[in-house]
Amino acid sequence: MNMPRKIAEVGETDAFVLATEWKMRRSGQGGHFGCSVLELSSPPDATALRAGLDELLRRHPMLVAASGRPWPFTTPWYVRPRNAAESLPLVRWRLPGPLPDDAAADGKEISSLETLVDWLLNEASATFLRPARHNMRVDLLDGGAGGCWLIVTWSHAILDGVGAELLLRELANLCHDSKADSVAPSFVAPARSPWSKPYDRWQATWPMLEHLQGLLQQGIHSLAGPKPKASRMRARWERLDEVATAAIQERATRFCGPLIQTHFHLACAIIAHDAVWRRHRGGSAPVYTVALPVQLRARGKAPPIFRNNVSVMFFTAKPDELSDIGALTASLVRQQQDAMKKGLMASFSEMQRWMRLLPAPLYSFFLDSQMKGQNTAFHHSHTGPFAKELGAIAGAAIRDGWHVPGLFAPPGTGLFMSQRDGRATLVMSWRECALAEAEAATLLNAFRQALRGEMETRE
Amino acid sequence: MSAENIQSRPDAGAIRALLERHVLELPADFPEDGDLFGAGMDSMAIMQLLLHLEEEFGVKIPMGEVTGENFSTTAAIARLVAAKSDEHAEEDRGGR
Repeated sequence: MNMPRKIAEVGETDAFVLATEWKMRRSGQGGHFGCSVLELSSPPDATALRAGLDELLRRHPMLVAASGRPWPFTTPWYVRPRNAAESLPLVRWRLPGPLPDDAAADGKEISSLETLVDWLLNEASATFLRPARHNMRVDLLDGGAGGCWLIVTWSHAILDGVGAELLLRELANLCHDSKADSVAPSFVAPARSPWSKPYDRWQATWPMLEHLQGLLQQGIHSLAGPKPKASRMRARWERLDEVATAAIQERATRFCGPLIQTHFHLACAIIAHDAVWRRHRGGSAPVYTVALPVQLRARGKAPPIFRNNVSVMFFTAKPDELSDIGALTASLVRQQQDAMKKGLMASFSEMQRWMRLLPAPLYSFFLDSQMKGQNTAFHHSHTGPFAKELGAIAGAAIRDGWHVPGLFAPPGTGLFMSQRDGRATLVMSWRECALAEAEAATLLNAFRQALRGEMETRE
Repeated sequence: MSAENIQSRPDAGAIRALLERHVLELPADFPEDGDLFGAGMDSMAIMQLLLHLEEEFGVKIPMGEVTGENFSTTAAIARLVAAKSDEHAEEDRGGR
């Protein structure tokens, strides 16, 4: 079979994302893209940015890669397609109104940052494939005296949020010095199975399969329901001040200690979703089953830029557990410890290695038939400090930054958090088929209130 | 691991060996006061470490004591495990 030039082997989770993207395109939900937004103190040096992007593409062919495999049911690869882009798009925009002398006058006018991100997550998706394939673009929005935003839109098919932050650092370094060492390897080969015999590898999947069967008996309930529908991506974000951020941190510390606060944030996201079910859907869902991504990279080694590098851990909570956030948080910690004791992450990885051999349509069919169309109640992550090593890009100081993840429906909703300079940013992404406007308002308000302890819960 | 096999007061070297066996790759010249977070220790790694500390040394560390200070070096972890072992021993004596 005539196959384009191979770049890197598709990893286990990459294959899951590629299958999800296949479903998204098939159901009219576009591609699987995320935006990383940097708020800058002034417009960056566009010439340095262009040079940085050119060097970035020269070093990292994954930025134009598509996926393929030499034969059905063999190892999939990222390959260089025939229509690979020769350069990465850098597009300039400006907000309405007069611009200062040093601002770009040639940008296209757009009403707001929110409108631009909305356009990038929805309409821009088709431009990544044709006429020339690329997996990343940069948009610069000049806000005049209000500052400037640099938005990197990236394909989830080649990297995750951790990789996106490495990519931002790499771009910033190359804008400054085109000969700088790369911040991380472009890619590494996926981890091999620790079991060599096929029978042992098959047996290794059973703990997770049995665990999933148990979860499915309780059901997985997302606000979008089990059937994918064509609908727009939406996103809203909110930056908290230092006082509110510190109060949330203090509260999280009270419930789960100062260092590992994931379970508290997840508890808040569960409570927020329950608020939507109760206020708008006639009552709580029977159970909230959440698949939480867990970074799998080898500790002590530089992670690659390009790889969806996660395993998944499933957490459940019943509505009667939600009134006591301390007990709920403790229950989520216990669930993670139990899952680790049972070796579920290794089992899940092995399952993904088998699934990786399936072409995306078959992967999706198998997954949907096993999981009855839904594999999580919603998406959630707290990515910690956002690009903390990054202070400036192309000569412009970075005032703030956050990710706006795109997602598929079902589940159709996601609550995300990150932090920069002592201030947290809450991001809510959703599909219009999953949430009405009033429900979206409830979800974000309830998340904020749960984080800050403003809901009626026992403590 | 049976109770008699549990080494209750590990030193920094034993903690390092446990880390390298299950959690983290460390350079050969990594010192016992070297920064584990700088070497790649993250929340997931700590969750794994907590389980192995319980299994191998018989100590359960409450989440409230999972602090940056207690987990920053192999020496700090060894001190924490020793302190928790003493607490457990005290509780056992009190319980008799």
